Amino acid sequence: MARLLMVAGTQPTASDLHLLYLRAFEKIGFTATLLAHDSALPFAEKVLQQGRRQLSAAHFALVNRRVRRAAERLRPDLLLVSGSNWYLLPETLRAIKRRGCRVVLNEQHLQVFRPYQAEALEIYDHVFTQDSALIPLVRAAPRAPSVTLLGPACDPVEHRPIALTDEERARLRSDIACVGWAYPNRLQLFEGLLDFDLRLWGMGWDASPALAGRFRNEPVHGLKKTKIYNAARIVVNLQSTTYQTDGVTCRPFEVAACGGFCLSEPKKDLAAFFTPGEEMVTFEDAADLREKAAYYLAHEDERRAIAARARARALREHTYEHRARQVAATLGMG
Amino acid sequence: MIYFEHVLRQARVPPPRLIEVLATSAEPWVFADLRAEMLDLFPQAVVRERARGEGPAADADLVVVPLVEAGDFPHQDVAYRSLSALRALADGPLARSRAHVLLYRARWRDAEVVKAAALRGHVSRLARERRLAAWIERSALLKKILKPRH
Repeated sequence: MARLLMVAGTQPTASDLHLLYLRAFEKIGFTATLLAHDSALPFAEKVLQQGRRQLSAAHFALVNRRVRRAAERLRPDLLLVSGSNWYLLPETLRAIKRRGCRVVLNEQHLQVFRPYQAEALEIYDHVFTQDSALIPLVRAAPRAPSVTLLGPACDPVEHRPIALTDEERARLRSDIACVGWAYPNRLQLFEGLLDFDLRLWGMGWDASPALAGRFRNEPVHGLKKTKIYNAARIVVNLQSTTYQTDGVTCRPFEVAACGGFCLSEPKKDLAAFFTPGEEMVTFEDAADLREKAAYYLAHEDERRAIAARARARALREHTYEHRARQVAATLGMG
Repeated sequence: MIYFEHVLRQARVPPPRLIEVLATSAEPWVFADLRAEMLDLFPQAVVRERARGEGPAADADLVVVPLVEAGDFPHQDVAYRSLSALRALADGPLARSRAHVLLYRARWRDAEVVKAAALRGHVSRLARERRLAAWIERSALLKKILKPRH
């Protein structure tokens, strides 16, 4: 049984994707261990983090030492740096690789440009990226590793249709919903949708006085997010302009697996995973979003049919288990 | 779902029969969200809220302590603001029980599990962290030594 050591962050993002990857690798037969670089920290790392010194050389040294020790103890066959390489130095990756372990990056935030991240590229046995825009950039690096697109995914246990109670439906339902951080582009977009039954979930929405009454200042994670995707008639996907270029996040996949209807911005990679117009509808700009939202709210059957096709495709091709199998097969470990 | 499952599994917590959530705030979503998550993970469990100021029942297997302040994430562990309440909990009958305690930083979905008997030591550790982190932040010399790597 192959042993996987995954290094990733678990502090809240919109999805628990690293934990879902971990579960998927276990499901396909790996012994999987997660080493989090940002939570459940040993004392000294926590003190540096809380003292706002988590970017200091001392903190880097502590994290790298912890990873090397974990690799010595667990003797993994595969080290998967998942999310982005926020902390691992080239010498750490080389030391682990010398032990016969495959070293692989699963890059999801376009973070390969800091000196240690760029230097590490030549060490990886393979780079997976969630954004196809990164592929030519990685290939242009000196002694470039092989690189392929690894799509976002859903988990059929985590993201599923749920029969909501009347109370839940009353609390969570809306015509249009968005779950995530209040990035400036989202604030601007949703300020133009105030004549819709709009509900925003996540952090930072109070930055816009115009959106008062449209958001609740309460956290959304896990089951609650799944229930919101179940309760909303339309979930809007508008991504950060910092962390993706052509790539798409897991939101459309999760919404699809919940049986929900996602109206997404037209990211180039989205068409590789869902058939535009049949399984996923996209909008070009705010005016187009308004028009399509109004149309699909008025055409219930059409909306439900698209959502059903998206769900079938997501479960058929886009689960974390599919992605874990793709990783294993690419590395000849499947 | 997966997050609590992971945290509880890492701490080797056996499936609880009685889960008590301490009412640490008046926010209505706290208990509703936690109850739903716990029942999703442990459908056979009884999940109930324990009123503010009351200690958990002696037969509780898992005691959830929600910390609902926002904090300046990730730099201010909100647990630091609840040290006196946590100390009081650790000094009460809970410390003599076999329960596990789930400290849950609710707004940032960050949790850690401590055995009830070890809660007092854990609270002391949190207090030490807080003191040292504040010292690091204040000290000009340490600021210079611990400057960002990039």
